[in-house]
Amino acid sequence: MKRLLIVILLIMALVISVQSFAATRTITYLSPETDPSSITVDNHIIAAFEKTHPGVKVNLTHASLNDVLPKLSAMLKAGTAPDLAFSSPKFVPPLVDQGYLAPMDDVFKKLGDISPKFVAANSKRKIFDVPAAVEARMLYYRKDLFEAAGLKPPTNFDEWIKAAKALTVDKNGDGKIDQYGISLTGAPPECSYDICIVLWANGGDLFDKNNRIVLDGAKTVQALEFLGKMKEFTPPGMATTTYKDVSLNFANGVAAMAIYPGRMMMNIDRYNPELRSKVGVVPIPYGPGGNGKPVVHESLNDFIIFKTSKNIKLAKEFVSFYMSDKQYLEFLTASTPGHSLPVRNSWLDDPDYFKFEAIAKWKDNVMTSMDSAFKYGTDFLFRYPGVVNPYVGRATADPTFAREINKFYTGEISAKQALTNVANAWREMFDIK
Amino acid sequence: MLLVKKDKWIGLAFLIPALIFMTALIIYPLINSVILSFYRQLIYEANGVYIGFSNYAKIINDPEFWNAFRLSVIWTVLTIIGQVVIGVGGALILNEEFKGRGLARAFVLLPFFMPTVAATLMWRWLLNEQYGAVNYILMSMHIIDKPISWLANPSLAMLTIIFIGIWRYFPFVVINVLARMQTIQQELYEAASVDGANAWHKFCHITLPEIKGVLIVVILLRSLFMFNKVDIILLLTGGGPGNNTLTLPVQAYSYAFEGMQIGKGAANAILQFLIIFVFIVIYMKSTSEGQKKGGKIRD
Repeated sequence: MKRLLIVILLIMALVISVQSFAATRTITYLSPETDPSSITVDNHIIAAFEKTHPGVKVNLTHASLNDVLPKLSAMLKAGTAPDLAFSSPKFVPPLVDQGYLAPMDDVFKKLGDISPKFVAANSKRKIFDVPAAVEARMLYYRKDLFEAAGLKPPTNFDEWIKAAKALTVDKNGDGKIDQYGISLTGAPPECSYDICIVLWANGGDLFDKNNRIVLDGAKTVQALEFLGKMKEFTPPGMATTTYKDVSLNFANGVAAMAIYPGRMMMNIDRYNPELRSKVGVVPIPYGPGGNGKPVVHESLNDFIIFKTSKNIKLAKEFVSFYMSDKQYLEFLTASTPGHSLPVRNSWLDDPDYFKFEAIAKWKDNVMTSMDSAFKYGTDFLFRYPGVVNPYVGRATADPTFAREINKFYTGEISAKQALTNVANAWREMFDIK
Repeated sequence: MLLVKKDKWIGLAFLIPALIFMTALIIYPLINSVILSFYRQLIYEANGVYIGFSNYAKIINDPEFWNAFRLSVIWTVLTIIGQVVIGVGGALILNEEFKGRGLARAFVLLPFFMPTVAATLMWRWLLNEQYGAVNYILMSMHIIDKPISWLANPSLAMLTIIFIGIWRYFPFVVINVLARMQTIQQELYEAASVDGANAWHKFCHITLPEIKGVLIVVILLRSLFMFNKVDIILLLTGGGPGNNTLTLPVQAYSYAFEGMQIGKGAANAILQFLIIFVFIVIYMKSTSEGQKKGGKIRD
């Protein structure tokens, strides 16, 4: 009898486990957001999704920002691609051309309040990515230092370089500069990314509306030459100054200005919270070649779903869930406060968003960033609305671009030579005349 | 040693796991890279376009490739010289009896066993223009009057990474040379002393001939390893400033994973393989000569 009971219990356990195994559906989500706070938020949202979707499991995996595309490429070829990923619109057109992505028109329609201007144009004229957030690259500046020097936040290149010069000072009279006007990224690979906003501010560009390469045009050269002059007012070693170094230089009071996205606010809170009240933001000043309007680099992050997914519908539900209600609020406020700005119109003046402590502390700067992004924002894929550019992802990732810019910063070649070298390399690479 | 038939099959059975491992991790990727080098293919493309030797032609005609080759040779030769000179010197010192020798031996090995990322980050901080200890100490001693951009100055960057490469890998030479030194008969040195030989004579006529075999193997192995080095250079300078530390392996990495051109990256890597193959042939000849002389490297 006892034996019979044990056998029955074992069979029941087997049946239950087989059933639950059969009932469990799993989706894999790849994200490059590896900040501890971002991982915590993702895990919360996943837990909430799993609670509302019994029998569903979401596996969170990561790749560093520079490795997302190589990792995805290897996974796609191996047949182990994730179901969805948090990505950049730059890579959407080539992934669409390769037939890797599933259309997401239905998710976009369901969310209902994302501006179509944020969607990456592609050859199939469908929506293959759902924008999740925008980061606004602004000019951070020290309000206190500007006031003390009798300066106003710069609105054009002339004012900008004058401010940089005036704020490069020897504070303690020992003959050594201890405060620099500005910190700029000079090290590959980020140096090429960071100069683009200055090129745009001066009316220059990488490609024109017909996708011809115009990187070696006069306005672009002028913009790079301007950055070369600014180098005089940056901390030493600009050629090896990374994107993170710029943030640290500003947060630690070494530099009075820096071009950076909203993550700067988090870094100041982390390294030097006393600085918070002394920091302001403005859009990037326009240059003599520009149209008299400042520029903001609004860099988007988006969700994409792969065609190889066995649970496309579930992956779409996850995206809709992530972009809604408490989940979206948590993503915007808790992962990287002030860095991920909402793309959903209904959230632009959401009181809960601005009440959140990390955002409330920086309310003025966040509101300025959001307003500026909507007024003056541009990004690689959105320079010419509706124009599909399949080259820009590869172009901006091309190591030649970063190396030639770096050579210019070390004084080995002129701005004209650097940009001509890159433009010629691209013409050969893309077979564009 | 001849194997009887049964032993032959048993031997093969033991070899199979290693053969599978080698095939999966070495032979298959090598063959795949050779095939890939004949294609124009981006990293995210499912299929590439066959272009024959076009990748090779472009690379060979590119002055940047020859610049990278020149830098690779400079990097390899100078780091090897530094590692051998300091390594042998270190081994000589650690071969002597002194108080704290055990501790000294442990400290000497530290650079070699430190994780690469930790070591390179440490050096980036030490050499930082603004807050690095190296500039601070040199300025305090009035050796320099303003900070030096060790990694950002095109003239200095290669020398700086060579120095770090020597620091990181000289313990490998110390370990191997010291092990050999400890098998040298002390009677040889005593006899030399009786004959009036000084320390230099003993080094030239006893120590050096005795360690020559080990040094040949160490130099060849270290040359192969240093020529192929990517991690230190990538983490310290990324090949910059400009192209001033862009060696061949870093260039191949750059083509494939930054520029997304895996066909071109594969072609670059195959060309490097052919260059290194020469070193491999020399090494194989050297070890096979040693084996012919009774299974160990002799002078």
